[in-house]
Amino acid sequence: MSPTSRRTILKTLAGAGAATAVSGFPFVNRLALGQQAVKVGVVVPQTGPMALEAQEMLAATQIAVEDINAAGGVMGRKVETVIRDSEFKPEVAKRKATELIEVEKAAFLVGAIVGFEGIAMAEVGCKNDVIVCFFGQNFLTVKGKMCKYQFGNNLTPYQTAAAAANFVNEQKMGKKWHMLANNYSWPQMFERAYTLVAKQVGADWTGVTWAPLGTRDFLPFLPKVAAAKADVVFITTWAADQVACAKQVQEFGLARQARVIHSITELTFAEAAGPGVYENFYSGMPWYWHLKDKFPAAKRYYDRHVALRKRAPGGYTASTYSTVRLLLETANDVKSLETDKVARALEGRKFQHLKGPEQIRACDHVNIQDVYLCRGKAASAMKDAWDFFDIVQAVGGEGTAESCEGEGFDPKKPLSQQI
Amino acid sequence: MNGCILILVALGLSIVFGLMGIINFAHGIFYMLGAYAGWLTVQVTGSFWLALLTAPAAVGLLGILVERGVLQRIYGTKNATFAGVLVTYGLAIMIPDLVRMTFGRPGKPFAVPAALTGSLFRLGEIDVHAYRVFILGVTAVLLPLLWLLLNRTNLGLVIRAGTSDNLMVQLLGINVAQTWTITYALGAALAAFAGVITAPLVAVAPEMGGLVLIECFIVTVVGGMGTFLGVVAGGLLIGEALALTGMLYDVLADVVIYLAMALVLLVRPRGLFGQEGMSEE
Repeated sequence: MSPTSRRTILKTLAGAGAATAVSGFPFVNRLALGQQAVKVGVVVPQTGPMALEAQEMLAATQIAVEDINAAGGVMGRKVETVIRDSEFKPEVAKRKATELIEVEKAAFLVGAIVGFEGIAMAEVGCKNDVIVCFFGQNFLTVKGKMCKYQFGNNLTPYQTAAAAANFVNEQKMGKKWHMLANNYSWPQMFERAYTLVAKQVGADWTGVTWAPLGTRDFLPFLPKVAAAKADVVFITTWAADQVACAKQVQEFGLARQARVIHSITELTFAEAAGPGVYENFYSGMPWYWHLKDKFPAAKRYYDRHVALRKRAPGGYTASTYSTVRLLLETANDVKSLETDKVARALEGRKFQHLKGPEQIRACDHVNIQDVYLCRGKAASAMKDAWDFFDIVQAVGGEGTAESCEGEGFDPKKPLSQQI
Repeated sequence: MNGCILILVALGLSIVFGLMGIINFAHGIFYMLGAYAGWLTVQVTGSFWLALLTAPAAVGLLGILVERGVLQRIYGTKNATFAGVLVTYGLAIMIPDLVRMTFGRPGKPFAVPAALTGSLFRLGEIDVHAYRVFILGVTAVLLPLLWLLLNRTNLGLVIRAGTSDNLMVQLLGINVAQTWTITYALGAALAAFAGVITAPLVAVAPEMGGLVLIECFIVTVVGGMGTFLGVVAGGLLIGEALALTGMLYDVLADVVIYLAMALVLLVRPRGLFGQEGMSEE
C-alpha cells in the first residue's frame, strides 16, 4: 500500500466538502436554503350545517396539493395546508383567518362556502395584503367591495343567472320569465342579473315570488308563480330550501306548465331530494361529474375523489380543487410568494383544469368559464347513485359575465391598477 | 300543512313548559330525529306506515333518557329554569352534529309513500295531493285523542293540575316525577311523529329542528303557554298567516309571524288562551 501524500488528503477532503455542499444532509440543506413548506390557509365550516360540504372541499384541497407536490411543489418547496374551522360563523371565520396569517404565516387564504364567511375572509386578506380566494360563489365583484388581492374562482351570481337565461333563450323555451326565490341578498343578485338579461334578449320579466329563507312549505307561494303564466320559472334557492322547493314544485306539477330551471344546484341537493325529484328540471352547475368522459384530467380527479370520499365530487368541490391549483401554479410560475407579484400574475391568467378553458378576467378578477346546464333524470334512467343529471349544454364565455363597467371597473386596466 | 306540523310540534313544547317550567330548546331535535328514525325504518323495512309507529316510539324512549338522565339533575336546583335553557340548548347544538357524524351527507331522500302520491282534486289553481290531505286527516284524528288524554284521563288530570300549580300537586303526594317523564316522552314522540309526516315534503337534514323550533315558540307564545287550545289556535293562526301572506303578499312572509305575535301580545299579553297564574311561577 503506497503512503498517502498530503496532496491526496487535501484533494479528498476538498471533494468530500464539495459533495456535502451540493447534496448535504437533507435537514441542513432545507433550512439553509429556506425550504420551509409553503402554507395555504384554509377556512371552511367543519362544524355546522355545511360541515359535509366542507369535508368534500377539504378532500379536493388535499388532492390539489398532492398534485402540486407531485409536480415539484412551489419553487421546489413542499406545499402544506393549515385548516381552520369557521364554525359557520363570520366572527370565527375572521378570527381563524387572522390566526392563519399572523401565526401560521399562510401565503394564501382560501375557503368560505357562504357569503358571510367570504366577507369576513376578504376583510382579513385585504387588510393583511394576503391573496384570498373563495370556494363558494364569487359575489363581491363590485367596486367598493373588492380589494386587489381578492379572487373568486367559482361562478358569480350574475354569470350563473346569465348562463341560465342565455340557455333558455338559445333553446327557445319562451320569452316570459319569472323567478321563485328565497328572500335575501344572494337571490336578489340573481334577480338583478335576470332582469338585465331579459331586457337584452327582449324577454318579459314578470317578477319574483319571494319565500322566506328556511321555508318548509312552498305550496302557498306556488299559485302566485303559476298565476304569472311564465314560460320559464327560474328557482334560486339553496340547500334545504332547494330540496323542499324541488319536491313541492314537482308535487304541484309546475313543470307541466313551465320550464323549471334551478339557477344553480349541487349534487348533494339532488341526493337529499331523492331519485326522480329533479326529473325534467334544468339546473346550472359550475361542473358536473359527467365531464370525466370529456376531459381526461376530470376523469383522474373524479377517480381520486371517489377513492378518497367514496362518492362523486360535486361542482363546488371541483371548483375548490381548481382554486387551490390555480393559486399554487401561478406562484410557481412567477417564482414568488410575494402577494403583489402573484396577484398581478393571476390577472388575465388562462388555465384549464377540470373543464373547458378558463381565464381570470384582469379588470374584476372574475373567472370567465363555462356553466353547465343539466337536465334532471327520471329515477328509472339513473345508472348509479349519483347519476341525477345529463349535461345539456355548456354556456360560457365573457358574454355571461357582467361587464367590468357594469361593476364600476375600467375594463382596460387590471384591477390591481384600479384600487 | 304548516299549521298541522306546528300544532303537533308546539303541543309538546307547550305542555313541557307548562308542567315542568322548562323552555325546551331541545324540542326541535326530536322533530329532526323523528324524520331520521322514519327514514331509517323505511330503509330497513320499506314501510312508511311502520315508520309512523317506530319513529315516535324510538324518539319517545330517547325523550325518557334525556329527561331522566339530564333534566332530572337540574330540577329543584337554584336557577333551574336558566339551567334548563342551557342544558337543552347544549343538546340542540350537540345532537345535530352527532346526526351529521352518524348519517353522513346532509340530506336523506324520503319519498311520499306510493299509496299517497298523486292529486286527489283541484282547488282553484292548486292540485290538492293525497299526501297533504293525509297530513290534515291524521292531525284531525290525533288532536281529539290528545284532548281526551289531557281531559279525560288521570294522567291528563295530573298534567293539567301540574301546569296550573305544580307545587300543590306534589303536596298531594302524586308521583310528579313519573308524570314529568311521561309528559316529556309524549312531547318528544309527538314532535317525532310530525317529523316523519313532514319528511316526504322537505329536506331531511340535521338542521331541520332548529327552523321549526322558532316557529313553535311563536305558536306557544301566541296561543298561551301550557294550554292545549292555545297551541291549536296559535298553530292555525301562524300557519294560516304564513300561507295567506305567501299567496297574497309574499314579501311580507318573512315578518308576518312576528307581526302576528306582536299584535296578539299587545291585545292579550298572556296569549290567546293563556290564563292568569298559569305557567307564571
